[in-house]
Amino acid sequence: MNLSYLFRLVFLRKWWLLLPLMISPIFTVYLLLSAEPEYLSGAKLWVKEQSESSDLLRIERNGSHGDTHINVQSQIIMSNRTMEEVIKRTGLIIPPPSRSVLGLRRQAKGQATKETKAPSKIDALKSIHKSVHVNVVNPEILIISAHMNDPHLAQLVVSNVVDVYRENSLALVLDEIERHEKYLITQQERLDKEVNEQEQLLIDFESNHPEVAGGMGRAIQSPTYALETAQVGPVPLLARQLAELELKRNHLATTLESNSFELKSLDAEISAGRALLDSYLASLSIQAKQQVEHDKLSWSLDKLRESRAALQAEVMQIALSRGAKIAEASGITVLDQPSFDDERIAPKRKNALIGSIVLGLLGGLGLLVVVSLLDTVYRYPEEIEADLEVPVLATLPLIKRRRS
Amino acid sequence: MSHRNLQLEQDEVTRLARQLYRQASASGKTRFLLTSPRNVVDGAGFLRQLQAGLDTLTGVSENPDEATSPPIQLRWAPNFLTDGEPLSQLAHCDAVILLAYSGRSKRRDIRETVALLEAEGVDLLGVVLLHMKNPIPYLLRKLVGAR
Repeated sequence: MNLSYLFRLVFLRKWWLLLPLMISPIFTVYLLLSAEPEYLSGAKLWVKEQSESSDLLRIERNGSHGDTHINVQSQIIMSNRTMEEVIKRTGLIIPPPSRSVLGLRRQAKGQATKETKAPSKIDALKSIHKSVHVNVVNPEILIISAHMNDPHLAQLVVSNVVDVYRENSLALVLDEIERHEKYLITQQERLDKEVNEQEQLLIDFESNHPEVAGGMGRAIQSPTYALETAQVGPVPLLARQLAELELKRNHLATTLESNSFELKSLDAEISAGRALLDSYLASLSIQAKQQVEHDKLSWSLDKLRESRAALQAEVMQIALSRGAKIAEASGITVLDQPSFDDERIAPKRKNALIGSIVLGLLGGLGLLVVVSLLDTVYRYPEEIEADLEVPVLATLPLIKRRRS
Repeated sequence: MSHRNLQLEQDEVTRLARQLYRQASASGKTRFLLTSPRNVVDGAGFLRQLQAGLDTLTGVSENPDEATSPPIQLRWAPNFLTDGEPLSQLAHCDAVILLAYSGRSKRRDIRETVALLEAEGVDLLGVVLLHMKNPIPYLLRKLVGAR
């Protein structure tokens, strides 16, 4: 089988080659005309992690905390909550009008585009989830991009996504700050109540035992005062340590399980201290005992007042720096504003046409080979001559036939 | 398969007749058997046309007594692979012309026929390929079931 015979065969079966070669570009042109153009807009954001801003706002993470944080931000952006708001603001509940060549022609002629069903929020959500993408560049930088059939629309969508994301992030931070403030206020109220109770206890004690203390002014003196005024040995020190342990225990009891090792250890320590204190107290005179009791009460009051003052300072600090904390905690900086590019990114007409021609050619060649291989009959004299090496005397066209 | 009585364009048949006449004159062979592998075509009509053309060329048709060359005889014996008739005719012929129908005669049948002729030691002059001038009318007739 020589090359000229091969070319001759291809020529004879040329329509098998030419048809796909023609159909493929025609079909591609139709697709290109009916395809929606695609424009891209993007914005680059710097999302700082606020782990050092506040102990309470801090989220402890493991080794890959940076990646986790940026991935969480990515999920927040792509969440339905964010996207629903974007759809609402951009007015995308109704799909944007077609901007394909055929679509624009139909609109120019005043023909309404085909509405297969009423627009729904779920469809809009699906559509925007396909159009909007978040690319994580590194643990602090991400790019939000949108592919739409209009460059202005793409820019608007990205802009709205950025705005909604920032607002949502801020709302989350505000929520955390408010919960923190609420917690502090609750603690403050509890301390106020405890201070009042303690003061009342001290007043009652002093009124019952006027010989021990001279009034509230004395109550806030240090425990060492008791040591100087009465020979009571290590009792005040023990009592103070015991009170400190009890305070610590009460504080931990709110956060730890009752059967935790730390609480059990503290309970054991308190019991041992109390036993030691009782043994000392047993050897003291009544007045000395009263003095110790008074000293204990006044020291507890002193400590409660100190705690309350610290808490008040923290509340004050939060109130003063609320604005700064919000700004700091939101931690989102727009590095590149949503871009506007009126050069379409798809479809690439030239590439598509070249591709379709190549594809049509390959398809045609494939078809030609398959048809030739599957053909069980002779159609052309060249085939007979090449296959059988028998001359073809003539090729006679039949013009009519009749029944014999 | 239906029998078909072929009628072909006269110009083409005349051209074939001239070619056969030249070959006959050169080789001295004057008896030809026309056959087909299977019952795809009925070459009786074709045979008549071709014989008429040859007779004109040899001068037999005008005045057999004053013919310029020996008459060329054509015989028609179809269905080489299925009938015994063509084989029996081989002894009375100098060469064979095979009639095949473009797009209908199976490659396998034609190959088999050629191989059998070779085995018989018969000279195969060549193949005449018949084809529809325009396949669309034929296909249309086939679709509507016309005979």
